[in-house]
Amino acid sequence: MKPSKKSVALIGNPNTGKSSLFNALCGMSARVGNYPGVTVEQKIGSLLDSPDPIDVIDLPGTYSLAARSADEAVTIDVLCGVQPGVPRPDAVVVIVDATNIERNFYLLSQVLDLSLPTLVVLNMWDRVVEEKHRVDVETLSQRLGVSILCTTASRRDGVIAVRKAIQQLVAPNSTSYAPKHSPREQFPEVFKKESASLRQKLAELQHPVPAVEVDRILIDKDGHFQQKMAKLELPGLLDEIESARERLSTAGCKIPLFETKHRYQWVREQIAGLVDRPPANQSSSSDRIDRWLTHRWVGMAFFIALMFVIFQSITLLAAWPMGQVEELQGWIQGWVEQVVAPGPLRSLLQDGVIAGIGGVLVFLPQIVILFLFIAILEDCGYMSRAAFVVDKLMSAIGLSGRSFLPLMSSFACAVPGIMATRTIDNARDRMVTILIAPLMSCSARLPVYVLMVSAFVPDDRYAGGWLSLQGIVLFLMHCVGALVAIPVAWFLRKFFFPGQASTFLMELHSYKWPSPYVLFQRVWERASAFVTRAGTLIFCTSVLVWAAGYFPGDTAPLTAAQKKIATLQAELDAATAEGSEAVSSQLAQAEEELNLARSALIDASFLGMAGKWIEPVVKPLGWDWKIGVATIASFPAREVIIATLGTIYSLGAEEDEESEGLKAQMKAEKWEDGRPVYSLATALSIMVFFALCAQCSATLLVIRRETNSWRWPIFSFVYMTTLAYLGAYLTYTIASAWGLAA
Amino acid sequence: MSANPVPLEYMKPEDRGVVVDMSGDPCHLKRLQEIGLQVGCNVRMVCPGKPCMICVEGRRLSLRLDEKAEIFVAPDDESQS
Ligand SMILES: Nc1nc2c(ncn2[C@@H]2O[C@H](COP(=O)(O)OP(=O)(O)O)[C@@H](O)[C@H]2O)c(=O)[nH]1
Ligand SMILES: [Mg+2]
Repeated sequence: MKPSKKSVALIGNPNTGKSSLFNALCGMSARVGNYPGVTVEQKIGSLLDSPDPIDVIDLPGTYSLAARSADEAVTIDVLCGVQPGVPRPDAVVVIVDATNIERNFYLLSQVLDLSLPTLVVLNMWDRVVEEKHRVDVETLSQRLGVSILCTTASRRDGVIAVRKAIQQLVAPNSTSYAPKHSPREQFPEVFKKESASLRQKLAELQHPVPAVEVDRILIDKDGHFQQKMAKLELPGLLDEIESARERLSTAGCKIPLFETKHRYQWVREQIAGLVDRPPANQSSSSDRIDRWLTHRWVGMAFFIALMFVIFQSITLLAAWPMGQVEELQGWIQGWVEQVVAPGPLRSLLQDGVIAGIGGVLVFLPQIVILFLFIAILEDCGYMSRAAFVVDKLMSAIGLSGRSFLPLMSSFACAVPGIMATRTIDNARDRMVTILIAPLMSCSARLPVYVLMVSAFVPDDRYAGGWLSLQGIVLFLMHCVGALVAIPVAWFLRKFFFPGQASTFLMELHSYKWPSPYVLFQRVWERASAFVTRAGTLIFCTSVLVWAAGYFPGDTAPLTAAQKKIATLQAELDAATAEGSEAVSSQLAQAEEELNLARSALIDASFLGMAGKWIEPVVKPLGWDWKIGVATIASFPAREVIIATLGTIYSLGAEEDEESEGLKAQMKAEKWEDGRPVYSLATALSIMVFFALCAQCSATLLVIRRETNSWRWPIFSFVYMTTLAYLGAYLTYTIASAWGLAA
Repeated sequence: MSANPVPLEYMKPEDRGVVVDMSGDPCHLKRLQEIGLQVGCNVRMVCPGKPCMICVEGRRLSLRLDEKAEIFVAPDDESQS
């Protein structure tokens, strides 16, 4: 007896309620989604109320074990026990949508061939009752030789019985749940013979493979398992597979279609007389909505209008909470000033920590609102309609609507977006989608846009205050990346990944009200990731930038000036009316000295030295050295720019502006000749640079992981940074020509 | 059920029928069958075009077939008139 932990895998078609059941079984949360392919990596939880610990694995949904996309490959690899890091499950729970048993049983028939202990769960039982289907569960269970339970996972009905059944399923010596017969027995004799002889051959080559995998090698042309075999480079094997297929087809067994034929036949035999359902071809209210939302023009217009409204509301809704957070930041600044004596520590706290991290956290309200909107769209089922609408456009550049879902979630963050490309079955499409996903304007760019827009775009309102110019610019900035992605995708598809145009096949799940629990969970997940980044990566960069801007210059004049001001201030408070005038003028002089000391310090610092060096590079973009340095510091994560700008300006700020926040400090920045550094043209050029640049180490690492090579992250970095520089240069030149640089 | 089978792309909105034949690249057809679109199932056109949206046994599918694939549907009598 090995004492190792038992595990069971949940498997089923997409949207049958696997994740819901997983959450109900484990009390833990995997993401629950209403569009195909939210579960991109297998999630593992442990079964609640079980005396022995049992792991439950939530697998990506699939219609078949004939894996085509990377996430389906994960499913079959886990079931066969060849997925690294995941032991082969001791049992399988097949989740079946009880309102569509025929199609769902196709997958069941493949799972039964694995001869693992199996439990069938008929989920969506509430709809079976409501729509008056008839399912003879008892007889069905006898025919299949496995036990069947009925559940309503979304209401957690019947979940306790499933927990008990799972415990029995993995109990030692339990035979009652192992399937009695395997549907593959009904395959034609010729096929079984070929499969057996191929298996024999593999065993002779010292590579024993279970019968089910041999079937998959034979049936799935260029499929997942054939590719695995090809990697082994066994002599003559691929030719052997090919000639076996030829022999089969001359014998009348057509690869691969005989599989669907035989399996559906098996399914019909099993359910004959036991399952009745009302005719399902009536049009529904969902159809009426769909007719408009997926209309060629209306649907497109609706989608664009929806995005526009979202970015309008971000500007309108976030103004108030943002003001509150800014106020809090100012209050903490004042408090530190009172408590900590002048010197490096105070500068670190004020200029490094509060101006740095605080500056980033101010944008939490916008980010939460954006995440909320994306989560609502994902959960209500609209996203797959939008994918349908844009498929026409995507097919023109060689992609399909499949690529739309990952791209759309890249508007929240490119990392999960790139992981979601695993659901794309066409490998070339997937590569192109991975490479353009970082161009979608992720939420980390939002703070940069909001900062620039709110500081330099006039707050003009139209249509009775409901339409703000700032919101329009924000929306347009989000379009920049998506528009640039179109020619890039076309170019990549044409020259780097040429091949047949891909087809498009996707199930559209019915609309539903988004669940508040799911929304909360998703927003929470993303928002806490944002705050954690601010507390770790951004904190470290801020402190580094602060140190680089504070040392190695002579800080004595600065500290002296600060002390002098403090004493003068005290004198001023104590002085009588006639004495105060003299003290005031002394104070003004001291403040002058302080400002000189501050800018001398940052000019003499490491940062200042580096800045002088890069100034010629960024000058054509309309930037001064401080923006240049801050941008370079933000290559690990783009939102760092806010923190570094905050730190740099706070270090070099004129005393009386310190508490007025980053926006005021930016507006006060001057070139040597006294012109303001920031104009609308500069702000636009910064925004375009950030829209296009690959400033996110997490994204580059995930590209490396998903493409398994350093080539593509380097490629992305180079092409995006080049585009960003050119784009910013063009923007600045054109905007200056229009007179926006004044 | 005397009507002649028509290709799927000739169906108009709300036309109903039964799939009688599918041809084309076998791997492509297999995917269609696995997702539930197979000979003998009831289909209803929701939104024609490329891609089109159809309702197969109550499930909505959106699909854009590859060039070679053909799906023939025998229209129901009532939807003919
Ligand atoms: N009516 C009904 N809806 C359910 C049931 N179980 C899950 N759902 C819903 O079906 C959708 C898909 O669920 P999810 O767990 O994401 O499915 P998965 O794709 O298989 O992981 C969600 O909107 C759930 O709220 C059920 O028993 N009855
Ligand atoms: Mg799921």
